[in-house]
Amino acid sequence: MTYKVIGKRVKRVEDPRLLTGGALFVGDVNLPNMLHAAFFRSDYAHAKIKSIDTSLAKEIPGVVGVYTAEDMGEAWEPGPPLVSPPPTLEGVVFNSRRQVPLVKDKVKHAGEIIAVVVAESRYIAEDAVEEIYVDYEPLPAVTDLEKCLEPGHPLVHDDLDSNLAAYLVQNKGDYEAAKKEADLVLKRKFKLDRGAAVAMENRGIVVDWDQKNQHLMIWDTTQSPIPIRNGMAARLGLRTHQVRVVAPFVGGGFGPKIMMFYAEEMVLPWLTMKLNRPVKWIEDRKENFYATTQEREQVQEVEMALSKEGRILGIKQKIIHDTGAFDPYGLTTPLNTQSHSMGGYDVQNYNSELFVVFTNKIIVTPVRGAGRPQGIYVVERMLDIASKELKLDPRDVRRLNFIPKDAFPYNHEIIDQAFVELVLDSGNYLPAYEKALEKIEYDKFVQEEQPRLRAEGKYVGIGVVPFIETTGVGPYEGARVAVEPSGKISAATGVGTQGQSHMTSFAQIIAEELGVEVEDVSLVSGDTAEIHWGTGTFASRGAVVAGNAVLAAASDVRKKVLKLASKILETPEDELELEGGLVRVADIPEKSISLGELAVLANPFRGAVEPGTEPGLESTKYFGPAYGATAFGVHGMILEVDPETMMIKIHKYIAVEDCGTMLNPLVVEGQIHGGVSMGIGNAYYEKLHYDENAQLLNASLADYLIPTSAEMPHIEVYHENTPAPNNKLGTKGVGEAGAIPVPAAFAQALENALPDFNLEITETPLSPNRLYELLYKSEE
Amino acid sequence: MLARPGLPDFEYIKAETFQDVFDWMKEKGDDLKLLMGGTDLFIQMRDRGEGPGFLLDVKGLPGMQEISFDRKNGLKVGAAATLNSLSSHPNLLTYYSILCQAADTVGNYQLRNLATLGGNICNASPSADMSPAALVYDGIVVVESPRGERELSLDQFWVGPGKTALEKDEFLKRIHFPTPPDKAAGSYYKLGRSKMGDLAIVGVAVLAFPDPNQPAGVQFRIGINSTAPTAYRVPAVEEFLAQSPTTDEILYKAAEMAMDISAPIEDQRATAIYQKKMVRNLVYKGLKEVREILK
Repeated sequence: MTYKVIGKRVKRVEDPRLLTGGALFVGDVNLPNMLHAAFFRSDYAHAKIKSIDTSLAKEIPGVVGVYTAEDMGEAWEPGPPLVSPPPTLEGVVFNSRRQVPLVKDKVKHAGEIIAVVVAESRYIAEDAVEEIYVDYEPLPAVTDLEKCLEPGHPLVHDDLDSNLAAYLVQNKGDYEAAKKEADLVLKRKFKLDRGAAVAMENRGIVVDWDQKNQHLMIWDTTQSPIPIRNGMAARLGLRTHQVRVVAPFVGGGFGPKIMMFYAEEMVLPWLTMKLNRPVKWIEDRKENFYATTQEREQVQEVEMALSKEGRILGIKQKIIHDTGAFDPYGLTTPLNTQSHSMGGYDVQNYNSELFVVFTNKIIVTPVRGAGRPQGIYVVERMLDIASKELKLDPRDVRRLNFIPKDAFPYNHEIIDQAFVELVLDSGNYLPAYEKALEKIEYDKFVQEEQPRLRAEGKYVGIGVVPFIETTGVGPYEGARVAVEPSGKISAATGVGTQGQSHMTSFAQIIAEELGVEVEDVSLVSGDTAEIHWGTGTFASRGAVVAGNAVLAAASDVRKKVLKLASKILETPEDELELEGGLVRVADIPEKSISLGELAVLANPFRGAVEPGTEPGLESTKYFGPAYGATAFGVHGMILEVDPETMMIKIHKYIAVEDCGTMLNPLVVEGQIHGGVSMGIGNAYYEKLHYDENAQLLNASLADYLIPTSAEMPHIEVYHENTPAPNNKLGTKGVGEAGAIPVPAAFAQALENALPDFNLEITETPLSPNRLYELLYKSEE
Repeated sequence: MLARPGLPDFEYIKAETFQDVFDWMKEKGDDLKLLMGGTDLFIQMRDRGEGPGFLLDVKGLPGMQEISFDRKNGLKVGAAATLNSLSSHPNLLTYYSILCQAADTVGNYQLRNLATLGGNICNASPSADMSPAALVYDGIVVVESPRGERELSLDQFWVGPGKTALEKDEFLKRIHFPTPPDKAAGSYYKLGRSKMGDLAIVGVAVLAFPDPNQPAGVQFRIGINSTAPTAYRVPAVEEFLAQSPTTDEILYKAAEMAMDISAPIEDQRATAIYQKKMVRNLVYKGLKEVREILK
């Protein structure tokens, strides 16, 4: 399909506002009579609370109130479970334990909230927090994924028999039978560590209960305003129309700002209703490290059976996944790990045993990539190791195993995060892989560049890793599109915006359908007053699910426009075209009527709206796919290792992506760039250091380094296009793609750069320090 | 840990004369700190939630921001001269290049518009970026008090992490660097994980110059930070190097000696063993580099 506006490199319409300080963030919301909250957070990761003394804090002038769990009374209840119960596989265990607004008796991770101070200013509130005294009985902390299931180990949740949060087995084919046929059976253990999302804007919430109107207004840095609205109403005993949630511009979501019902989100609405005054809280960076969810920590034992030609006969896997102190987000993340542990390869036999464990660390929920990087890491590492063992070219091993083009839709026969069978809807993997090898000049590098540089004493290496990304999962999203009497278009969708360019790419879809300029479309995202139904921005689903809802609504408006215009212009609909804000007769362009005039006619003051029709040129439509759209990509990097310090410099970085139809290549490339920077962080810079007391040792940006523009390589992005067959636009998600393959490509490139060291990398991230240790170990 | 105390209240005072400083210091004692760039001080005050009741800004005192150089007397840097004013100074680039190089590794450009050489030295952080370069240029601190000026070498001045030899009534006025020997060549390596803002895992400055009186025909000075309670020189290694021809083997041996002298502590930023190895590798790298320049 050829488009006029969709797929064009349209500059972001939201940028002028963002760049000139004209965009509203939650931090900008200041209301008359507003109070400020500050939280007393536990120093201990695991401790019984013996007593709490808030008396001194209450006496500080300007303090309006200091509250603990006891003060909440009946209003105290844990956050809601956020995803459905686990899939109905045989033998599934799932122990749901959700975060609480204020800790009642036992602290389960450092940073959990024990008391809240409300005061006339944040300064006073924070000073008062200093005057709260809590007497704890410290308990041994649960930190070790492998030991925490042993009998007699300290328990995070005392009402459970063990620290097991969930258990399930996924099976496809017969791994044990396949193993018997294998020429090579590889077994490796992998350790994948924790990182933080580090959105530049921390979390924040402003709440305002209007008692006379009986209405609660919430500004929240959430990715999912509608579920937050629904949940808040339910918690507070209100109707949904009594609660409006606005997620204005949000400075980065990356998963942790999903509909979490964080403790702060549960406490503040209760406070505003109790005090009848607006209350504001903005998270600071230190709180962000202790109170905002994190991800990635897993220990995996993986077995891969292969033929001597390098064909994967089967994969067996045991995953221990750390969910932190609670598991509000169910099994989404580890299911994604399973879904990606076969990569884009035709694997007939797969057996994966999953243990999800509670620890006294910060809660785990998806962070950009959401379990997928761990799956891709292990399968790609295993293939690299197998290639060495079998003395095969690692490229040939991939070529041999890719799911062939004609095998789609390809059913992986396991359950994915959407609790439906993991069906890869479409793909054409081999050409994208070959393109990546060509763009990074693989042959030239290994045949000419590498030997030349090696002779100069330089350690340079190449890593090229393909990956899949399951995207665009249901349940559904909606959109409302309306032609205003001015001829401009108003639109709304329930997915919030944290940098995804919704105001531009969704406007392109509408501009395409209605023949208007992108600038003439004004799209509201993330305001529950604008649309009633929806879920949110996560799981790389906006362009697929909301995008196709936008298309459906715009198409419906187009129909209404044509129907009315046909009547007025006395011309059959199929002879009309929409162009430049007008409906005109294709052969007689001067015979036309503007969209604005039509909008006025569609909403008459006199007469009657015809039976069976509706006033206005407006439509609200929904889209829900039966299963997701699976994107594909290949990333390659050439890096240099300083053999004396193990410092790394990435010389070249290329990405080939196939996200089906691109709504706007600029936006796609921006997503890849951002994702790669997070991936490089995950691979090299970013590791949350917890000690044996589950204390986070590097909770500041001075110690927890994130890559900045100074560290980022130039990234070349290339595109392939295999449209998704199950949605009209043919879109697949790309929001998380950039982050997924980087640690695997990094490891491959490092091993390639250091052939003399017999290095085998089975962990991530790898700081220079850690890499040095590994080399020393392999030197011994 | 988790209650973030924020910056505590304090009174800001701007000193006009040296006598002002003496008077305020006498009156307020421990409840007063001198303020230069404030880039370390304010962070410490914020994170510890406690600090002095008074901050006395001494940046405006006569000569405090002056940088002067002549070949006879060497370089005099007012304690409140900013790092950016150092790194762009033409005489410094010619005669004290690694001082400039070191200044450019501190934090980021905006921070260096505030941060001062005197502040970096008085803060006495083991990882202070200016220390290795200041050490190899034989920096001398000039301290002022009602009793007059006195001079101390840097190894006399730094007595431990965050601790200096300053008496209660003394403050740092100026840092003096003698003119480096003719044909001196320098090298500086800061090992940080990122290009901007990371603290040094190890920093190594090497300065060398021809010296016909030494058996080696050359003399080396080595300054190292981040791997002991204070930044330090390694006189035993320098002595060893002066005695022997500067072959690769000798330089490596010297680097190993420096590694053995280093005494880093282990933290989440780097293990002790890695830091020790990095002392060896960077000293070796620095020695080879300056040897090549001198050739």
